[in-house]
Amino acid sequence: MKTRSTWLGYLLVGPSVLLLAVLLFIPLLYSLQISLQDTDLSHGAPKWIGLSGYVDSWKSGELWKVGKHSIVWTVCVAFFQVVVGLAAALMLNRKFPLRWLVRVLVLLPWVLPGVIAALTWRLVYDSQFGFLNSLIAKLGFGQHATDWLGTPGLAMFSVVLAAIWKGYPFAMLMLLAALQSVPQDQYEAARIDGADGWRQFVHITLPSISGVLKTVVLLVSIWTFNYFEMIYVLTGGGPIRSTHIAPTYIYELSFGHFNFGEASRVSVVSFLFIFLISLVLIRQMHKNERNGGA
Amino acid sequence: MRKIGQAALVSCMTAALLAGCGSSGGKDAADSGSASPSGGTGKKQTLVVWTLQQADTNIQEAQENAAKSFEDQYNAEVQITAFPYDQLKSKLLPAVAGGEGPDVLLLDQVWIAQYAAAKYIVPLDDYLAKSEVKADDYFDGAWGAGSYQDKAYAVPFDVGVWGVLYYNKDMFKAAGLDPEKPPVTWDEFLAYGEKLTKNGKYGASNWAGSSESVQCLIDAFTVAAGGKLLDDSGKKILINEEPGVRALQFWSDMSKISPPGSVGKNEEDAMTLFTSGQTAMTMYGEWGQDTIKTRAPNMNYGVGNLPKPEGGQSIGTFGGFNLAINANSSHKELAWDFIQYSTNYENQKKITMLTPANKKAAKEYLDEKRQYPDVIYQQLTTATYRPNVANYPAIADLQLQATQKVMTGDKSPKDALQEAADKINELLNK
Repeated sequence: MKTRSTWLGYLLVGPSVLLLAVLLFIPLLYSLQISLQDTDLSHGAPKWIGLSGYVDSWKSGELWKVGKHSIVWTVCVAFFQVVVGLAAALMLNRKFPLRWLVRVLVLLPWVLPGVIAALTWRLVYDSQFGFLNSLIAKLGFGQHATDWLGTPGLAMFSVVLAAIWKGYPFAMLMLLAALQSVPQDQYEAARIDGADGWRQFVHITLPSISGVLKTVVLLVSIWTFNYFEMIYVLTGGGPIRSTHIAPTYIYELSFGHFNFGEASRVSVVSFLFIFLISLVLIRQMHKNERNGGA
Repeated sequence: MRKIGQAALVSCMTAALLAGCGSSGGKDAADSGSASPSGGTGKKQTLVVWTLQQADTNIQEAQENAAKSFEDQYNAEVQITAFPYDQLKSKLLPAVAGGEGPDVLLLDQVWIAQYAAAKYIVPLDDYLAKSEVKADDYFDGAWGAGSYQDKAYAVPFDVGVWGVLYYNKDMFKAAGLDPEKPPVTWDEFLAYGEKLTKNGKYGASNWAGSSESVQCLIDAFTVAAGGKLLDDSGKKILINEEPGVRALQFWSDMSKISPPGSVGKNEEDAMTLFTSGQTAMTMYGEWGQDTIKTRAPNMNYGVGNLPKPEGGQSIGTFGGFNLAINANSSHKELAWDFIQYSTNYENQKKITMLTPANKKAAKEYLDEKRQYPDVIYQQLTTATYRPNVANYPAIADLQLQATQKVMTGDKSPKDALQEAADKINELLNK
């Protein structure tokens, strides 16, 4: 009886293990292998160069530049998505007329297809006919034609803003669900003890939703790090490579320059980076669960 | 009941997996079938051709129809598959690098050096020597773009030129300019542009967004100013010499007559500004006539040659596609026959998306389909081509960054081009 169920177990796990191996581990090892080769097409077949490719990529400075952009991008976008999402969730958790309608409308950016959202933002940022410039003019700050996506100093800010707008409803949705599960009697007890709104938030709301909050931070960080289409559509990494993050740079190297070796090196580095973030955050989550259990 | 459910689930999943394997196995079989040498007599050879689907015309159908008589003549079966540009670009190289892919490749001119350097395509000189195909029958620049290190690798199929000058005749009249006389020199172009820049309208619009068209134009202006892009060894870029600096300076001077913000724009944005009447002139490929026809059918416009530097020549840069033979093909002779067939005068008129690369066919095509056919034909005849080096994409990217640095006021043309040239030379001598 035992053997039979063991076999059944293997049989059931088998397909997913196979799928994981074929779709995940083999490609992963393969790109690791390619990352140790010089695949520049100017000399035909790839050459084995070992780790020196990594040293060269690092020395050329491009990797560091893209790394910096990736970090700025991920931290800013993820942080503000969660903060704005939390603020929105707190507001939408209160009772007011037509709340259901507002909740639906707030979700709109998130349900919009990514490329369409990005194309819409292109129109917003247009220097000639863009909504943003005309809004600034209408608010009385004067006529001007700022090229939001074409000015190296502004482009990163512009794509970050668009990405926050696109992604915050997810954080809002998750946190709203968490907020609704916070027992109301704790607030009542706190009020009787004389706690004001801020104290209630810090001592009741935050601890109660911290598990969900950490999960949201983890997910949003990883998604943001790998968020491709917003930057690809808005700036394509430009101007002067001032908005290239890891995914867009990898895309340009592999499908623009057909330099799969260099592209794999960047992928491996960014894989390690994400792996580390996930490790830290997942540990945090486990700690949280244990504390919660105790 | 639950057991049965599990069993059903497992069998479903295994079936799905098997189906996955099965279909990919089938594809392999088909590919190797096409690549295997043709068997006994009377058995049809299969020729696989990958081509490009562009614009709205159903080019695949036209090409399949044209292939019918080829099939009869050579007792072969021709399988034509048309891909959109991005797909062709990202699928073709991995396929060919993996030893598969079609027998006949349609390559963007700027890919040819890459494929040739990697030995994915075969030199055609031997085939050319014993055939009727003559370089003189095709546009010079298109033929030149098909060669790499003094060997011919790809026969021109169709071409386009970056670009010609479009101008709005009504806006010319309103500004007191002769609507039948478009500006000829750079100085005239800028002077006309200043007259046309008023009341919120602009003379033209330059751009420097992430697209290659701006590089095509600046390459063209460099050659027009008497410069060269590469030296003869192909190991040294020459864009940092005086003609290149002048060319980039001209493009940057255009900012005076352009709406602000060139780096956020590309050629399509510039065309939109033109068709919506915001700018009076724009530079675009000759196929821009189709765009104007759809977007601004009532526009009273004219077409002139690209402005030239004082004392120079009006020169554009070629774009377009050439046909080559896969080095792994086992039907190279048949593939060559097909290339000859597709690039001869008779067939060129029917099966190209852009202007035919065969000069005689191009003349008829332009007369029939375009306004100002002579202007376009002239621009095609003198057009230059982009550097045919293996890592062209990386080089074009460095050129673009230099242009963007100038357009944002970050660097002077001379400094930006010097910096780019240093990096490019490093790449060329890797």
